[in-house]
Amino acid sequence: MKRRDFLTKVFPAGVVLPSLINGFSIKAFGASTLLSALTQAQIETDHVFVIIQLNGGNDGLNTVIPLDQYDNLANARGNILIPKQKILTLDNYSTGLHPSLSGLKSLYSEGQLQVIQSVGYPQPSFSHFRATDIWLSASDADKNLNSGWVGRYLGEEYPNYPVNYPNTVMPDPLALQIGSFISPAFQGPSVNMGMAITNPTNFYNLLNGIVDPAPNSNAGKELTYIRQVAQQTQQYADVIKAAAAKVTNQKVYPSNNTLADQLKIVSRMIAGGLKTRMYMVNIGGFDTHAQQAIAGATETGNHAILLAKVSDAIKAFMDDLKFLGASKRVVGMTFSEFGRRIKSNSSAGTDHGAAAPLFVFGESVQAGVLGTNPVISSLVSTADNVPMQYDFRSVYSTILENWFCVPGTALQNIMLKNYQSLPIIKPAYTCASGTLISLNKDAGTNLITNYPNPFTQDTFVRYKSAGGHVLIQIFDVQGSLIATVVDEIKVDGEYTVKFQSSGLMPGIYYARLQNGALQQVRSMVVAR
Amino acid sequence: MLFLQNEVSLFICRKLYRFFVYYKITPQIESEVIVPLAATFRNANYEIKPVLLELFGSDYFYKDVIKACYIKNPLDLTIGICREFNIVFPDQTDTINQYLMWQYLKGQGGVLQLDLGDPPNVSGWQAYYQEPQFYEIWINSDTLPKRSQFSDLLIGNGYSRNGKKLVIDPISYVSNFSKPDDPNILIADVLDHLYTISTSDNLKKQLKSILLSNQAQDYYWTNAWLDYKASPSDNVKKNIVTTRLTAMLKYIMNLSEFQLI
Repeated sequence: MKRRDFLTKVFPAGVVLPSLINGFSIKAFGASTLLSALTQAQIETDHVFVIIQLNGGNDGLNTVIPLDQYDNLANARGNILIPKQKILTLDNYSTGLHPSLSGLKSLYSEGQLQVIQSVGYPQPSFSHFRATDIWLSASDADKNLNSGWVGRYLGEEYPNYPVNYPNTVMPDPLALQIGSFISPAFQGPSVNMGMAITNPTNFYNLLNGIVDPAPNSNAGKELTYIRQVAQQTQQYADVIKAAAAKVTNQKVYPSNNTLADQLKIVSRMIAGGLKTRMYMVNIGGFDTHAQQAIAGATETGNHAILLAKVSDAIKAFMDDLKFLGASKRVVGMTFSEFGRRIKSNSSAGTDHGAAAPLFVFGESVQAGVLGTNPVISSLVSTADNVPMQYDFRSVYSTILENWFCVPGTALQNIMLKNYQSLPIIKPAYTCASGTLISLNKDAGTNLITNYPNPFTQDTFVRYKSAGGHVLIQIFDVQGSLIATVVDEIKVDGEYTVKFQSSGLMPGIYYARLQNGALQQVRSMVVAR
Repeated sequence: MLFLQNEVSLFICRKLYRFFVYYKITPQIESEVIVPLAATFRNANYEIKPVLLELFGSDYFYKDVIKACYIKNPLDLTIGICREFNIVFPDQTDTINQYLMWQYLKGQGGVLQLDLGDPPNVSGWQAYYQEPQFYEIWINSDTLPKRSQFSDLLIGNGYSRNGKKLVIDPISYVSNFSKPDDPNILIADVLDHLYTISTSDNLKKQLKSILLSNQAQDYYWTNAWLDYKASPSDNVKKNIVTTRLTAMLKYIMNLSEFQLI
């Protein structure tokens, strides 16, 4: 609620404002949480976040390809690896994209795409269902949460929803799912904060004039009657129709592309002036256990087709938003419930894995690659996974903090923990600072090392802190968290901590350092 | 004197037809159904039973074109959900809580415009007699969302009062079906049980995409279900199947089809 609205609504004309609250004028509280608490005012922003879910577990290593690991990759997944000369390279990084991602490549060149490497979480689940629930709820791997991260955010912003909604301050849906039913991500603490606009009694009909056929019978007549009432009673039907009506001319979207169809509706809603902040769309089919790529022409096949759909749809979406003058308001993100194994299988496919890259796009995004290429060893076994560099909840947390300007206390309520803030949004657009460029300067220096390495019993982990909170976690090759060796505030300086291998099987382990927005992953070898 | 008029038997048979079949009586139905029933009625010396036997025993009564056209009255909906899902109530030794829960259902009936024991006037509820809408009157822009809110509450957090709870247990519900591990059979069984109207393959596909979280392979559901059955006390496994069943059942109850019986 705007201050002006609050005042005109709550106080009759003529009230003397400066003595309102314990003698302080309202102005003095202008930006404080006190006023916010008094008015239950949500933060004013016209920013929009679009979440693109890739169902099935997208193969990260064939999406964003670590070029400096190519030989070891060829060893591990030769039957599906993209020919080196076909890979689209990203300027300034030894990282490439699948040749289907030409649309994303051009967004990258225009400075509108960030690749975040190896996003995951400790103790990854390899079950689609469980992993999806974890990503949507933002829970720890061993906890059940019955609300979604977006739902909790909207619950903080609009605490009384749905009582007295829609209203003049928020006349529009809080969150929109383009799809068959509302994502659990929109589930708030008590009610679902989102609404879906494809189901038969909903807005898809209003937008596209499609009505599921009712049978030609008495029952069909009654069904039609109930559906008509259902359409009339959709609280948001009018605002959605009005928004859709404002946008009469859109850029061309690719055909035979369900994601493009969905994003076209999203663009229309945004440009049509809805104040809705969160949109969710999805595309399935990424569960590529077999025939992921065609032998002899691995740049083609099922995965290539899917990635082309994603890339073409996003490119068309951004072009359309620009054409409609709404592109500055929008940031989007892709995610999948997990990546896939490093090693491919003999059916020219890949099995369920762990950490994987994700894309964040938009004019307000710091273009580049965040994080380093995953290190692929020369001896990869079937169960090996890409170790996580970034917790996916750090991405969510950063979006809430820097794109939606959610203050620290609310952020804690939503995310349930304190996650690191990442350089995703351009400083000019954020509520905080920190840039990708300054971080990448540090990428060449070793922030974390260990000696001896390989080691049998003890090793000394040496690390640098730039000040602030330091977290050092040890993971095994499957992504399981073995130990947390440091989790505290460390002033600027160099430190050493001992790590003991007791109880660990010989093999490769990863030590992950997180210090503010920085992190590095160091591989360590336990020998007999 | 009165019973010498044919109109008496026709009038009563129309009432019976409206109650048991459909409120709309076309000239064809008048001549092919009402008139013969009225004749039976008169020949049986105005006994109702032979009329109903003839109606219920006719092929006509079982034709698809006249089935599933009745809109649930508020109690059909509220009590119906409790029965269909076998919702557990406080037992009779806990009289107070049992009555409190019954009172809640009665109250919900009132919210949905059927307050049991308190008809709006001496004619009873309009849905049973008011031309031309009849039971369409139950559904309006106020009551329809409230019907969904009621089903959403029971499939969601449930209704709590005095430390007791009315809530749908989706796992125990689907456990009654023949093969809950097979998503296709499960969805067909659930639709058979909850809907009286037949549904398209498109809808079944859509329901499956909810149950499977949009995964392409049926066995992901099968595995999740069997995993849960193998260790029913594992909360994570239980939560995986509960979340998906809840989402699907909520969706089924939110569709207009659910309002018909």
